[in-house]
Amino acid sequence: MIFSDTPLQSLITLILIVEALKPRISRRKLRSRVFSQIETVVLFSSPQRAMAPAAKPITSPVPDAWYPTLAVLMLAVGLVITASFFIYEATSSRKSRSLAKELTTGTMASIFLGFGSLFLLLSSGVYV
Amino acid sequence: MGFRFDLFIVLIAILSVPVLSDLILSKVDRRIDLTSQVVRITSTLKVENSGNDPVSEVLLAFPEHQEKNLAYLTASFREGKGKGKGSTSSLPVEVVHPQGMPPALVFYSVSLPKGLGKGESLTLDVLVVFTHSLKPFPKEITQADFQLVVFQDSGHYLSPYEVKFQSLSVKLPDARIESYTRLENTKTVGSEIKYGPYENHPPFSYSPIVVHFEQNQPFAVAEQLVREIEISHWGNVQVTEHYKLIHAGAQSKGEFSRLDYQARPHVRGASAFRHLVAKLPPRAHSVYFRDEIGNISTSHLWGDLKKTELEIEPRYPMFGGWRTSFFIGYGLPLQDFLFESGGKRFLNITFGCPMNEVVIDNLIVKVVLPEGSRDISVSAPFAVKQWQETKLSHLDIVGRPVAVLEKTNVVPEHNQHFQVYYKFNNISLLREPLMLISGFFFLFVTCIVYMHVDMSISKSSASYVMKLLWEEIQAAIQQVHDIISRCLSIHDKLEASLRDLSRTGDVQACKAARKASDGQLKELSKELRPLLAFLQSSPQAAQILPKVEELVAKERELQEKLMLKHTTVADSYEKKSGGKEIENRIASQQQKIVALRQEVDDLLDYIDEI
Repeated sequence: MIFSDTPLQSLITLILIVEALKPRISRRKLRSRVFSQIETVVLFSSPQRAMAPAAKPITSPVPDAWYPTLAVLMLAVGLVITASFFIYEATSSRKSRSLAKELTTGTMASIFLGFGSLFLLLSSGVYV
Repeated sequence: MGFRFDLFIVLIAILSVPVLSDLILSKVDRRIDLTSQVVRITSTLKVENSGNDPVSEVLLAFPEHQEKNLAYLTASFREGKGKGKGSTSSLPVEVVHPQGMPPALVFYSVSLPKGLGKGESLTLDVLVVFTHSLKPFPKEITQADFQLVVFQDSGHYLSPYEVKFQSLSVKLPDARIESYTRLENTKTVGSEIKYGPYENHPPFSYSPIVVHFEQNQPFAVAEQLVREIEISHWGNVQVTEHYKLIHAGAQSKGEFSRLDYQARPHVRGASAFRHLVAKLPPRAHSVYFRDEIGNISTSHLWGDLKKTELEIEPRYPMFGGWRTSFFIGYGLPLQDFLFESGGKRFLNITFGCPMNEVVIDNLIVKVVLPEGSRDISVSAPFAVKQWQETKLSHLDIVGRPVAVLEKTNVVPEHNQHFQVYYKFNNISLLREPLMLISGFFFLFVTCIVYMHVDMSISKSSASYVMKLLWEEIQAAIQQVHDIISRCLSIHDKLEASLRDLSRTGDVQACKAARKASDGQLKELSKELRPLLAFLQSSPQAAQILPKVEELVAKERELQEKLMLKHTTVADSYEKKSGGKEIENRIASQQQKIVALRQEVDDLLDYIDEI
């Protein structure tokens, strides 16, 4: 009995062909035999046992394969904005400083750095 | 010899018992499998209703001393006639205490789906699993001795009903059989002992049999196993299992000779075991095998699409009575185990230990759900003790809810799937990045506050005053720098208009551009005047002032020259003189302009670096 990842339909067709080629038996017996075999196939081919029928697997909102790339990109952008924040702080004089510009730069930098460090943790195996 | 006393009680009980209901077991086939440390008894009972009333339950009886080792019991009935394999469905079984029964017996009741009518018959398949039922005898052996164990049961099937026809077959491992009880109709076929067939025995008939044989299969018993299953919605289910293993066979006495063991392991140490094989789910990753000392490297891992097999070898071979403890961890992909249905999420994962043929005395399964999960409920296919805890892990504020399940006497048949249901809002996933973001933001705010707050102790000291003045001068210089840069950009615009003129020939536009630039430059020079005045008035700027004045002067010169050049070019275009002539006229001016521009740029850079 094959129960692995072959598609269900081709398997059922195979069973029907095999059953049809067997020596002639009454139609009722053929039907019951085929149905019992289909039942076994269905039962054994689904990897989830003992479960509700309409269950949808849950995955992460961001695909796994993107974690390292996202980490590097977000950290790079975050560090660039951090650099611009500190440059602004260093080169502006007390009079010409604007609190709004500082706060926006700081917020943007912390958002990118936050997400970047989250993806960095996830890609290195610490699933937080 | 405690079991002898219990047998005595049971034998007495046989003589004083009423007949129970009208069921008759017309055929009983028992197969006792003693090939591993776990005793499995499969009984096929053909139940017949010889009375008038329909019967809806069948009672199974076990002696008390045997029942306390009972780990797993299922009963299923076979539909359909004949020898073909019809569908089997398992029936609910529960402990009952009927009255008028002999003492020292425990009864399990199997509920039939539809009542068994008068004269009808039914086939039941009962599987019973016992642990710790093979008692090593002798209790202590040396390294070179064989491990012999004793198993005792009843030769006749113990039942509250009359048994018409029964047979028993005891399957032993392919090794020495020391001795066994001989009843009537006993014969050995290879490594199987067949008792029976026996006919027409009354209810509660019990005849003890004892089998003494050699058993070398590993007696791996985990005294305690703690399985922790941690779910992270970012894509991973992490399982960590902590084992405390003991070899529950005959105790090892005398000394252990490593040389003898390694030279001839099957002679000196036949009952010891070295390897344990675990079947993990497919796509398991990041598998580790460690103990308190550190990593244990004697392990092998290979996987295919159906399973991942892990073969581990603890730091020393396990002889009788020896203990070891280690822990195993592995990660599993989330989509194989976490599902959503009807607004609730549930985790579908196996309950027991993934290792082959390991008996667990006390199993604790902890399912750690992410922070923000509510309405947690567990559904397991057998009875477990449950309660809730919290665990503090990465990036947690209050802690993660943990659903703990505990079960004693667990055998590999218990390795079925169980579900944990809970509710979780996807927005709560953002809690973790928000914590990190707020951490970083706090750093930036600290920086801003530090730059803004005036933290000098004395506000009237000379150095403080000087510092304030210097900052004002810096601000002024910065503004000068800005204005000059703007002037330079206007110059660039003028040059661009000249180039447009040479391309399109539109003199009017050129003149208009010149007028506009003129106006802007005049405004900028007006802005420049108060700044220069301030710089001239402050003594601290004495060093930088000459450079600034030089810069302003040069810029003005550049401005004039550029304007002159512009007018000449525009006029030449009006007069429609050739290109070469224009070039000649403005050649010298162009050179000077370029030189001046370079100087202005240098001065700007110098000022910038203050």
